Amino acid sequence: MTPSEEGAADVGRHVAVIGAGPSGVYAAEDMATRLGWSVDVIDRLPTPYGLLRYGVAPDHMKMKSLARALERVFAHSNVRFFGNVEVGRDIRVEELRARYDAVIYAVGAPGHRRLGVPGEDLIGVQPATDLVAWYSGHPDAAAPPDLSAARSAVVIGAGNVALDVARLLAKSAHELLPTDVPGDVIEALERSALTDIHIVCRRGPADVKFTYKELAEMGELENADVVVHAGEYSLDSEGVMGAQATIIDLFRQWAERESGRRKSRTVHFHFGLRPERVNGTRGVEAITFGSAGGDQVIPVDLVVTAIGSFGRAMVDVDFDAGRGVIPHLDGRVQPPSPGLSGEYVVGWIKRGPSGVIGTNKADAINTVATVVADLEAAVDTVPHAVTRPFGEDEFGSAVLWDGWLGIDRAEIAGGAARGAARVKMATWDQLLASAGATRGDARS
Amino acid sequence: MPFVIGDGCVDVKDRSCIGFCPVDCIYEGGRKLYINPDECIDCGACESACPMNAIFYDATIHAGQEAHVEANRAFFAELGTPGGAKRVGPQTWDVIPDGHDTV
Repeated sequence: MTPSEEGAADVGRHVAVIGAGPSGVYAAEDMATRLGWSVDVIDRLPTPYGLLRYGVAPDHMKMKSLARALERVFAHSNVRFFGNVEVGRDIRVEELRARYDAVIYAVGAPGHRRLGVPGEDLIGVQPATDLVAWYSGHPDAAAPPDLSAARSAVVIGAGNVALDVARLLAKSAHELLPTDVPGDVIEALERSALTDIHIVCRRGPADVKFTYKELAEMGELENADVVVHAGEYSLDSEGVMGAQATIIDLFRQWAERESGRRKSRTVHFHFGLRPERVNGTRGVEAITFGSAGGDQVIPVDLVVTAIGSFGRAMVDVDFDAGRGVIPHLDGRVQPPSPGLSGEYVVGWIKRGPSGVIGTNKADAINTVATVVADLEAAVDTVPHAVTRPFGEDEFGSAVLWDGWLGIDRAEIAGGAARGAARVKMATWDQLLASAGATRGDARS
Repeated sequence: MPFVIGDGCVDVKDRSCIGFCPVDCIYEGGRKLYINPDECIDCGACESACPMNAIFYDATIHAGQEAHVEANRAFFAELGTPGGAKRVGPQTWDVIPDGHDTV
């Protein structure tokens, strides 16, 4: 019996969680600390924390500090991290089903919704997820088009991701120095010639999904003024209920204080504009929007679509391609695989891309309750399969928790030179070298 | 600029918000709950979880509830930043602003 099997026998259940983002870690926390189960958290990246690391905007440092709470989960002796292990490449789901009491998919929504208009594949049109991945230092991210000749950017969307992208493009490089944004990204943003950043919303100011706090930040930028183009919409919040009224009030204050541009950049808010086509020959040159007042054309060098994330199918797991989620009932994947360990979902692959980070905590606990009920029911009917969790040396290329701590230390050291708490390492080679691992796709 | 719990929680303590707080920074007093302003990461999950609509972002707190901003902070005068409500459990005291005692 290897040490890991011995440990598993001591604590009973052993569950695999696929994805080390907040929803997966919350599920692991509930199972390890409340139930005393053993949990292996597996991620295709060598780094934990998922969208907290690669989705939460780098200048939202307070939110990023949540990593300290998630880190405590991995400090628990029942929880192990297997980074750089990709399900479908390094291990098949079939094997996970056979080896664990339960498998929980926490794989998020890495894809994006498309605009569905002509020209959206022109060079210079990018989903927000690509731009976010780039400034977040994701090792799979590609650099966006050169910004040194770009004057105008359009961000299509009315949610907080649109605000994040527009804000990062509007900020001065100086404002980003204390963040974890990689040095080459800061250099590229420093060369940016952008003067106008347009946030374009399909509906009116009362319909936006921005939250007040994130929207208010736009009025505090060192380098950019805000201009509101209300079109046919009223900016009177009379009769509007709740949080939406404070948002309309904010737009009205900005609209009223417009008195000439003082800063080098301008962030524009447009309402009631429907994207109809992206114009250009090779690269994007302009976008045509339909509106109540007829077509409007905005000349543009960069278009970012922030109209929603979308789940991606996993090999050998059922998938609802219309909704971008794995079908489930109370968190149990539907239909269940007969005779095999149960499969479950948490987070965005379960609910779709909605909610804030904390939403995933309650959601993960609900799924764990289903796992508990199923395992208790199964005890009476079928003999409990012997679980065979991974040995720590089973994958030659795996990055274990100590490996991640190596990356963590190197990033913190890398931040010291510019007064940042950390600077991200943005390539696989750097990450794996700091973890003392190598890139490989073969089991040892 | 953290979130703040106001009048609606007094003598209710539904506690739904606690299940949503990603950093476990919602602490229990004798008669209401309190958000630790130094531990809150501004995510807003609690705001929509509260069935009493008692939770506000402090910059947009409703008229008449403003005194809770200071009261929420004052609740932690002795506790400081324990790093999680589970670690300290419920407290016996409260800081409820004058005139906000609904009973």
